[in-house]
Amino acid sequence: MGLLTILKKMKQKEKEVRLLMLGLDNAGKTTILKKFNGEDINTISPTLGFNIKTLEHRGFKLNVWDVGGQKSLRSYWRNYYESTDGLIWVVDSADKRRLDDCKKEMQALLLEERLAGATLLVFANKQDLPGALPAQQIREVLELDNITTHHWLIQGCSAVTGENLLQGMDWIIDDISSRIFTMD
Amino acid sequence: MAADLSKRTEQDKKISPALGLHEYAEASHGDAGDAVVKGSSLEYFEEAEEIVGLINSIPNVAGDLIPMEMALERFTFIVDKYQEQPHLIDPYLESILEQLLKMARDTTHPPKVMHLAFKFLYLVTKMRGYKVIVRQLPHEVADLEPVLEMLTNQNPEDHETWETRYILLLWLSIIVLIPFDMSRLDSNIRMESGEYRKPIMDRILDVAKIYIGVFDTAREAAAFLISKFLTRPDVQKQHLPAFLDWALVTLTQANPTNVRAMDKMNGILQTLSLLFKHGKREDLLTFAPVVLKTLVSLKMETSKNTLLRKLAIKLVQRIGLTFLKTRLASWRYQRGSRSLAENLQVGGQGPVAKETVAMKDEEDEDDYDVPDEIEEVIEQVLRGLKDRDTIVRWSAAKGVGRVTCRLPRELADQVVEEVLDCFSLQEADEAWHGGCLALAELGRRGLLLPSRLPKVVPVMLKALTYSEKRAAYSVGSHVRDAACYVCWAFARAYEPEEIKPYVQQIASALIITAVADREVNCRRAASAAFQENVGRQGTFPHGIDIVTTVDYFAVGSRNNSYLNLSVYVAQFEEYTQALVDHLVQHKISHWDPSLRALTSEALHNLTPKCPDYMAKTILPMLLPLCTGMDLATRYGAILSSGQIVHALYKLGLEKNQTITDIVDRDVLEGLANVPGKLEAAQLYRGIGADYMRPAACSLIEKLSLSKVPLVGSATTSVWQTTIDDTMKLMLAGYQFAIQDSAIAGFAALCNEYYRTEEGTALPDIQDKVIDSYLGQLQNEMVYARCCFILALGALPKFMIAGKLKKLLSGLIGATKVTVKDISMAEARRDAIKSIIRICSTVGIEKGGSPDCVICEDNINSVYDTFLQAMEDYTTDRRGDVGTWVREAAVVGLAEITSQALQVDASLIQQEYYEKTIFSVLHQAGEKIDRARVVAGETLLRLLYHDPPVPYIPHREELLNLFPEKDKETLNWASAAECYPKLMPVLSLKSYTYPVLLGLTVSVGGLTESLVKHSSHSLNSYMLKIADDEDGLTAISDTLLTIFNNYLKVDRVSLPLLKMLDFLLGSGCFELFTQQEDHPFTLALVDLCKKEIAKCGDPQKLLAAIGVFCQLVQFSGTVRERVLFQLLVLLGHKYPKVRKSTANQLYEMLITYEDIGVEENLNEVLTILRETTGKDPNVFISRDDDSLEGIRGIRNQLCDLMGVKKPVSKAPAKPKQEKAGDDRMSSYADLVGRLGY
Repeated sequence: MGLLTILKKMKQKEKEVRLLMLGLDNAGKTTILKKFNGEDINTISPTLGFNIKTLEHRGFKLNVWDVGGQKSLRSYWRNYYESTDGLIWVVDSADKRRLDDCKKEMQALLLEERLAGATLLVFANKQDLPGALPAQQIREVLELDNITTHHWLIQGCSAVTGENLLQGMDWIIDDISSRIFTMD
Repeated sequence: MAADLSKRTEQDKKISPALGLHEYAEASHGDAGDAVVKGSSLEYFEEAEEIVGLINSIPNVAGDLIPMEMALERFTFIVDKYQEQPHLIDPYLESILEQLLKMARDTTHPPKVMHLAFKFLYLVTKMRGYKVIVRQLPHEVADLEPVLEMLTNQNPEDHETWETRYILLLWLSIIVLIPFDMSRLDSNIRMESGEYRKPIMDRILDVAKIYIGVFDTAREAAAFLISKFLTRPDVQKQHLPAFLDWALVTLTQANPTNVRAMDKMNGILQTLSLLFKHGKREDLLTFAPVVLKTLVSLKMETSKNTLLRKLAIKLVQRIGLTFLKTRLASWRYQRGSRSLAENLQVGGQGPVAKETVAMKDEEDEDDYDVPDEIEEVIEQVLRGLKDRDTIVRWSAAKGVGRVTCRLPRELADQVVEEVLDCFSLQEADEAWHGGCLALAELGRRGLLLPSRLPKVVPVMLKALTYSEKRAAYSVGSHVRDAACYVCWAFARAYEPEEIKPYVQQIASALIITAVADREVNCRRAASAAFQENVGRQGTFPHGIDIVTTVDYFAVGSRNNSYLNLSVYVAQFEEYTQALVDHLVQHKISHWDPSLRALTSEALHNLTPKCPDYMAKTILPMLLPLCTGMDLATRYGAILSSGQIVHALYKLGLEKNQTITDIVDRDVLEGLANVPGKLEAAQLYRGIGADYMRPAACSLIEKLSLSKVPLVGSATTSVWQTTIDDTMKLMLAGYQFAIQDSAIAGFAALCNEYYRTEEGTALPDIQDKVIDSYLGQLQNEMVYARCCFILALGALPKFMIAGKLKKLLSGLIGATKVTVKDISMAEARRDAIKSIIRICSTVGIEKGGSPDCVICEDNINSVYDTFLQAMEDYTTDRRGDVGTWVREAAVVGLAEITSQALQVDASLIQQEYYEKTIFSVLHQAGEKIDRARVVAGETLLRLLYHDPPVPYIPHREELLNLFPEKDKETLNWASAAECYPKLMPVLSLKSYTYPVLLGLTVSVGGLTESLVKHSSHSLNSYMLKIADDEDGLTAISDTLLTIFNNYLKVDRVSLPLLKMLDFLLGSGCFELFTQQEDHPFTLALVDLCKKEIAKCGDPQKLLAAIGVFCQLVQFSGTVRERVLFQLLVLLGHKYPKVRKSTANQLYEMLITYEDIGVEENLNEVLTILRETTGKDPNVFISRDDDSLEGIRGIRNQLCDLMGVKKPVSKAPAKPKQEKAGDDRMSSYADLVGRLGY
C-alpha cells in the first residue's frame, strides 16, 4: 500500500463523478437521461423507482442517478444522497403552477448535510414549449441568487431537442473537477 | 449531441498535459510499482466474443464436471487478465450481466445452471468491483420478490455455491433502494396455514442476518445489504433500534477467540461501519454514544485478528464523524485544479463560474459544540496509527484525517500535535509509518496549518531517510514511502509561498530518495512526489529538467539511478552537495554490502561535479572511517576513498595536474597507509575478512592507478603483502569478486611502482615477485593457486621482460594433468588463460628473444601445451571438468594463431595449423553444448580469419559447408542445428578421424536429445554413402583406428561400442555383407574381444553383445566367431549379461535367416524361447550352482548351431585358486571362456 497504489486509486476515483438528478414529477429527468444516452424518448412513462446510467464524457465517467419525482417518492430521495458530487435539478419551465412547490423541494434539498458542497445545476427544461418561462425568470422564482452554500448555474434547455444540455453538463463537470479531489 | 455524450468510449487523457500524476497512475499497474512493465497494459477487452460464447455454453456444460471446470477456468483466466484495468470491460458489461442474469433467473434450467451463472457473475464482480456491478443490476419493484425467494431457498452452508448467495445479496442491496414504502408490497393474504405471511421487511432482514456471520464472502454482501436496507426511512423507523440492539448484544457475547465468533464479529462490525457511513447523520446520532461505548469496552485493539482491529478502527472513526457536522474547506476550489495547463494560464486559480463563498469557517467555529465522545474516538484512531499491521494503520490514518477535518481549528491542531508524537526515537517503525500516513492525510485535507510547517518539515525529512537497523538488515522502506506521500500531499495542500522556505530541503531530500534509495518503490514514490511538487509548486529548482529525466521508468533500475541519474541531478548545484553528503553519511555504511560498493561507484561518477568538495572535505572525512570501528562503514569508506581519488586523478589529467596538486599529501599518505593499518589492527581476520581484503586490494588498485607518490618501498611491500595474503586466503570459488580485486590491485601496483624511469622493472623486485608467485603454483588450495596463476597472467610487459622462459615453463607445468592435482581443473584452465594473456601482453616477434617475446623458439611449446590441453578429459563429481580446460585451449589456439598470422605466417609449422583445425573440429562435435559453442565459433573465426590461416586441409569445401553467415545464425548449442552441419565434413578425408571421434561420444552418449540428433544426422549421412565403397571404407577404417587408439579407454570405447551397434543395426554397412569375411568385420570382432577381455563393467559387456549380434549378418568365419563369442557370454557369470545375450540372440536368429543353422533353427529357437520365456528366466538365476545347468543348455545350443563348445581353460595361476577357490574359479572361467 505505497504511494503509487494510492495515486493509482485516486486517479481512478478522480475520473468518476456521481450526479444525482432530481426534480418534480414530469419535469423531464428521465427524458434528459435518455437523450444523453441516445435512447428513444417517445415512450417514456413516469419513473416508478429509479434509473442509473453510466456515461462517458470528456474522459469522465458520469454515474447519473435519476429518481422518480412523484410526491410519494420524494421522502425516499435521501437514500440516494450519499457521495453525490453534483446535483441536477430539473424544472418544468412551462409548469408555472407548481414552481413554488418546486422551489420548496429544492431548498429543502440544499439544506441536506450529505449534499453539502455538491455542485448545483438547474435545468430550466422544456424551453421548446410555448409559454415556457425563460431561465432568467426561473432563476428569480427559485431565488437562486440567495444560495450561498453551493456553486450553481441555471441553464435553459430542451430535453426533446437536446438544446443546451451539453453546455450544462460541461459546466457541472468543470466545476466538480476544479474542486479539490473528493474528500471521501 | 446525445451521440456525442454516450458514444465516447475513448478515454480523454489530457487531464494534466505534461505533469501531474498521470504517468504514475497509468504506469503503476502492479502493487507498489514493483516489477511493472509498460508492455503489460492492455488496450481493450479482447475476449468479448469468447466471453459471450462461454456464457452461452453454461446450460450445456453445467452438470458435467470436466467441461464445466474448463469453462470456469477459461472464464477465470480471461477475467483475471483485466483485474488491473477493469474499466476496459465497461462497454460490454451491460450485455454480459444481462445475459448471465437471464440465465440465472430462468427457472426452466436445473439449479446447476443457475449456480454456474452466478459463479461467472461473481468473477465479473471480483474484477470490476461490487460497487460498479451493483449499479448495473435490475432494480424494479417486480424483482424484489423473486430475488428474495431465490435467496431464501439457498443453503447457507453449501460451500460450492457461495457465489450464488453473494451475488443475490448484492442484488438485493440495490433492489431495496426502490423508493416505495415496503409495507405496501405486503399482500394481506393469508397463507394456507392460516397465518399472515411475514412482512417483506422482516423477511429481508432475517435472511440478511443469517449471512452476517458466515465465513465466506457472502458476509460482506450481507453487511452491505443491511446497511442499505436499514437506512431506508421506513425500515429505519421500525427496525434500526432493534437491530443495533441485537448487534451490540451479539458483539459483547461473542467469544473473541473462537473462529466462528470472529466471523460474526467481523460481519457485525462491517455492517455497523457501513451503516454509519450510508445513514443520515442526524438519524444515527442518537445511537452513536452507545455503540461507541460498547465498542470501546470490547477492547478490539487487543485482538489478534488484524481484520477485526481494522474494522474496529473504521467503525470508531465513522462514529466520530457522526458526532460532528460536515465542514467544507473554503479553499477547495483554489488548490484543487487538476490541470496544470489551466493552472499556469490563470495563475493558480480554478475556473471561476458563478462563484459564491462555499462556507464560512470562521463564523461556524465558535458556536460549534464538540461532544465529549470525540476525545475517545481520537484516542482510538491515534492508537491505531501505531498498530502492527499496515491496513490498520492506514485505516487509522484516514480516520485521523476525516475526523480532524470536522473539528474546530484549535482541536484540530491538538490532533496534529498528537500525531507528531509518533515521531520520537522511542517509537518503532510502525509508529513512524502511521504517523507519516496521518500527516499526509491531514496535509491533503489542508488541516496542517502553515504555522505547523517548521515542526512538520524536519520530521518529514527525517522520515525520508528513515532506516532502522535490525540484525543484518534494516526496516523502514514503508516509512520512506509514506514520507513521500506526505511530500506529495503537501504539494497539493499549500500555496507556493508557504512552502517556499523549505523548498530547498524538501527538493533535495526527495531527489535523494528518488535516485539513492535502495528500494524501487521508494525511488518511484519519491519521483512521483517530486513531480507533483514541481507541477503544483513550480518553485523546485530545475524541476522540469529533473522531472523529465528522473522519471518512473528511469528510477526503475538501481544501477541507473546511482550511476547515471545521480550525475544528472548533481549538475544542478542546488543538489550536488546534498546528494554527496547523503551518500557519504547514509549509504557508505548501508546494511547491504552491494549498495556500499554501488555507492562508491556513484561517488566516483559524482566527483567531477564537485572536485573541490570531494578533495577538501569528503576525503579527509572518510580517512578516519577507513580504519574505524564499524565494519560496514569501513568497507564503504575504503572503497569510496579509492574511487574518489581515482576520479580526481582522471580530472587532474585533463588539467595537467597530478593527484598531489588536488588532494592533500597527508590525506594521500593516510590512505596509502590504510592497508597496513588494517593489518596492524588485525582487521583482515575473522568475519570481516571477506570485505576488508577486497576493499584493501581495490584501494591499492585505485591509488596505484592514480599515481599516488609513495616515499620509499615500505608501503609497496606492505601493499604487496596484503595482496599476497589475500590471494593465499582464497578459499572458495564464490569469492570471484575478491579474486578480481586482488588481481586488479596486483596489476596496478606492478604497473605503477615496480617500474624504473626507463620503463624496465625494478630488478630485485621483479625476481622476488615472479619467483614467489611461481612458487605458489604448487599451492594446495585450488582457488589460491588459480589466483596466483591469473595474477601472473596479468603482469605488465616490463615485468615479464627477461623472465618469459621461466614464466612460460611454470605456467605450462600448471596445465599438465598430474595424479596429485587431477581435480584442479580450474587451475589448469586459468593457466591456459594466463598463457594466452601473457602472449598478447608480450606480443609475437620473429627472431625475438625467447625470454622477452613469443618467437619461433617458444611458440611451439605454447602450441603443444594447448593441443595437449585438448586431451584433458578429467572428470570428477562435478562432471566433465576437463571441458573448462579444453574450452580455454580452443580459444588459446585461435588467439595465438591469429596473433602469429598478424606477424608472420611462417612462424607456425604446418602441422600445428592442421592440428589446430582438427582439434577445433573434434570439439565441435562434442557432447557438451557449451564446448561446442566455443569450438564452433572458433572454427568460423579461423576459417574467415584475415589474413587467412594457411594449410587448412580442404579449405574450399569447409568454406562452402560453413558460410560466413553462420557466424550470426548458427546456434552451436543446439544439437538439432549443429550435427547436420557437421556430417558432410566426414567425407573430407583429413577430418574424418577428428570429427568421428567427437561424434562418437555424442552418438554413444546419454542425453536423449543429444543422442537423438547426433545419431540421426550420422545415420542419414551414412545412408547417403551406403553404396560408395570408398566413402564407407574411409569411415570403417577410421572407426577401427579410433577403436585401436582408445582401446580400454572407457570414455571413448563404451560410446564407440554403442555407436557401432547403432550403425551396424541401421544397415549402414550392408555393402560389406556381400563380401565374405570383410576385413572390417574381422578386425572389429578382434577389437571387441580385446575390449571386453577381463572386463567387469556390465554396461560395456551389454554394448558388446549388441555389436556381436549385429555382426552375425556378415558371412564367413566372422559369423562363426561371433556366435562363439555370444555363446560364451550366454554362460557368463553375470545374470544380466546372460539374459541379455539370450534375448538378443533370439531376436537375431529371427531377423537374419540366412546364417547357416536353418535345419536346427526351430529347435534352437524353442530352447531359447523356453528358457527366456520362463519366469523366472533361467538365465537370470543368481544361483552359482545353476551356472552348470545353464552351461549345459548353452552347450546343447552349440551343438545345434554347429559352433564349437567353449571350454573353460585351466586357471592361469594356481595361487589364485588357493586363495579363493569358488570366486576365482568363476572369474578365471570367465577369462578363459572369453578366449584368454
